[in-house]
Amino acid sequence: MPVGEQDLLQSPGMINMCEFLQDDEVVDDEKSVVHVATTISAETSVESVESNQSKKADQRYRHIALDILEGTFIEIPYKEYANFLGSEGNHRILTEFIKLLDPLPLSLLEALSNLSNSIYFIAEAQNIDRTLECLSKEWIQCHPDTHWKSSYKLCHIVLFSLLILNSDLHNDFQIDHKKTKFSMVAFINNTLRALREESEYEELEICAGEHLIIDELSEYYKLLNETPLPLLTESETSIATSEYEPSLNRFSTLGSREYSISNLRGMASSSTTLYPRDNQNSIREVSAKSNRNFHNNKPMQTLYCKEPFDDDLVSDSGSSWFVDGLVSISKKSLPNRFFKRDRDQETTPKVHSKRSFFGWLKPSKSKTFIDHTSRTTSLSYLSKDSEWDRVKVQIREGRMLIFKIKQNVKDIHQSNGTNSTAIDYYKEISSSYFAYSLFEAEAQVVQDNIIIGCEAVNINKNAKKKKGNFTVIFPEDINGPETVLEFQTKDIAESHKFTQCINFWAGRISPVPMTQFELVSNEEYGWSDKVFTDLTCFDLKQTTISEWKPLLGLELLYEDSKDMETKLKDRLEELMDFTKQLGVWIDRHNEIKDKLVEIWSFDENCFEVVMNNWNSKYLYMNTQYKKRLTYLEALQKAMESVPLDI
Amino acid sequence: MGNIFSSMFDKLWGSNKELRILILGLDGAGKTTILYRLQIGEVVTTKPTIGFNVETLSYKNLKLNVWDLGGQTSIRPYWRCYYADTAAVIFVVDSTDKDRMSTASKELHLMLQEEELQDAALLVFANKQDQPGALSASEVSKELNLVELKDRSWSIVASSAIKGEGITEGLDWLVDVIKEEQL
Repeated sequence: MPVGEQDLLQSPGMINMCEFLQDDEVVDDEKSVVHVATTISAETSVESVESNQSKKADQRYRHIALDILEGTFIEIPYKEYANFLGSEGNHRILTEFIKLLDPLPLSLLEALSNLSNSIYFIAEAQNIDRTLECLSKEWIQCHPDTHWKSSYKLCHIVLFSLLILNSDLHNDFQIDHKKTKFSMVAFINNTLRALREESEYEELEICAGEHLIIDELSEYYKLLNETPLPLLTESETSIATSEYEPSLNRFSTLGSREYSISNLRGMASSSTTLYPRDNQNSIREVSAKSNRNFHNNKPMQTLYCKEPFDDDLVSDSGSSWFVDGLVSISKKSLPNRFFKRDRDQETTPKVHSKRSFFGWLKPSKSKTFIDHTSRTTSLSYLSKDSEWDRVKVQIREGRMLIFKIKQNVKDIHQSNGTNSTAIDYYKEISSSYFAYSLFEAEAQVVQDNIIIGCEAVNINKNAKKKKGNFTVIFPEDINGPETVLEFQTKDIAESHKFTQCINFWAGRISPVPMTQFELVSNEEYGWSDKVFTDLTCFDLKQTTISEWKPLLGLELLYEDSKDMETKLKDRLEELMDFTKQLGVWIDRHNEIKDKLVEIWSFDENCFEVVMNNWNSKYLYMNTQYKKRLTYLEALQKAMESVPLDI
Repeated sequence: MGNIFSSMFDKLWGSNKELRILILGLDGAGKTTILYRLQIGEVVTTKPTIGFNVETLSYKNLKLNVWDLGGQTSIRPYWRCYYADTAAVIFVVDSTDKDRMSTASKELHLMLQEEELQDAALLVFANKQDQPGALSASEVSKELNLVELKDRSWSIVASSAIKGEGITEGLDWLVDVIKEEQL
């Protein structure tokens, strides 16, 4: 079966969103924002000040909400944020703040956990209450089809109830006096009583779903009993530490989340639907945060399980652990806006990019971030008209940092790029810079795949002979389509160093998608056992054939990807096992092809659908196989530098 | 044997007896300020829990776990089923807020009807006495119809949380009445 590259299915969605920060984006009306900020206090109503300026005001509210989420809203003491948000006059800021927590998880407890992970959440009861009310409204909007139907008030009661339960269970005071703690029965009865009264009052019918509610509440009780809701402290504002893997995702990815859940397609156990862990968001969160932190000089979250040997190797330039080099990047790889605003950027003094955070919030904007070079686009390497730009690229600890060097900077000091001074220096000489997480990324040296002979290398007449070229592919994820960045290095050896380093980190931090292949669906793609054994042509014609897709959606694939814990050696073993197993599965898939042709050829339409399915699965498996093999090789190579005794 | 002795001792002296107290009242009455002003005894340092302001203090051989559960909330106050095991309620009133005095009264009486609070003592702080136009304790008492409360120990104390006035007196009364009734 010829495999055109254009037919390749993208590897399952990941999480390689690149967040893009540009210093010049800041804020025409920053002054006015500051003005608003300085005029408000926890007791002051912002609404009363700004009520007549709708759009601009909205933006400011969002800005303040974002600053609060960031922990950078300096007008109010950090511990007063929750009181400020919950104050009566600050409802609109509160609403914006809660929106920033989207997508809210399906579990109310998790939604609460997300909230408590986003803000120092100790406040006066009425402020808490208003916050929970707002949260419950947002939750209902996110999840209109649950047994709570559209009644945010019922959710509000549950949230309030959970918060009281948390205080009761985990208040130090009562640790030695269990009799004073609520039992599960008491908790459920109390909450149910409140819900019944409220539903009577609201003339709602909850009886039908009461058993579901009881199940849900008892699940919450168990979870909460084991782990208290986390209290975010100031130092943690930029680092998620929750047991619940909270989503601090600032992107409106609700749709995607829904998609991923529905994509379980009948596979979800009741516990999954009841209490889907939000882990899948964690990785995205990591990358979402990384750029922000990077920009704000906050410590970026560690993406991998750090081991003793890492300490020495992470600064070993040119190794699999760390590469730092001045290279060229194809202009078309980079965001369009980047270049349109190039001139401005370079003349604009460095200012803190508050506005750019807003940019993140606008879904439409995120699409313009990247020139969506697809694999089918011809490589810049092959075109003599390609334009390139100087960038400093650093691969370190699971990330790719790219600094676009200002045009007027001629000399760049060579320094040990791992320390923060070097990073600061790079930022200084850059008109803009950005950080990619290498989750599921894949790098390859172009010359390894495209051999064009000695003469053809000189297609680009300005280019020196034997320049190296490599591409980095970030697979499609919910934040955008697949992205390909193209780089050119001074020689092929350097390209190899980069790709080795990128693949090593990508392999190390990307979980092995074994679950994807172990799951079985009850949907008919054309090759179930039944098809091969009992069904007649008539039966086959009646069968509904579903379109084959990876069973787990973009994110659920990584449900068990708490991957700060997988050691390098273990990852290596996982990859070995996985590639071996996948090889077997691919062979099996190959074996059924002839039978399928035989069985389905009686009907042209069915035949086409089934064969398309077969192809899709085949290509998907192949893509995965190839990628994991690349990772495996990179890890094996890297292991050579790890001292044997470790 | 030791256990029996120690529990007898506790009963007699109230040593380390732990009690839950709720602070309630309308918005802006000064509940949180009162909560922190209550720390006249030895403050027990605890790991903060998210959510409500909760403080623990030792006072006159009692360990008090004081919860600021607030007052009027947007949902109807069903969470009050959590009143179980509450020894006392501290109800805080803004003595200057005459307009909402009747609302406060309604809240208070509604709350006290809860079965779980039948045995709870009631301490009312007629707060914000430092401000001009504040109603006196007896005036607040009338506004709140406290005389209607039967079969319950209650007391109203004029206070200024900001200045710290009246707090000790109120707490002293409360501790005494709790010891008398519950221990």
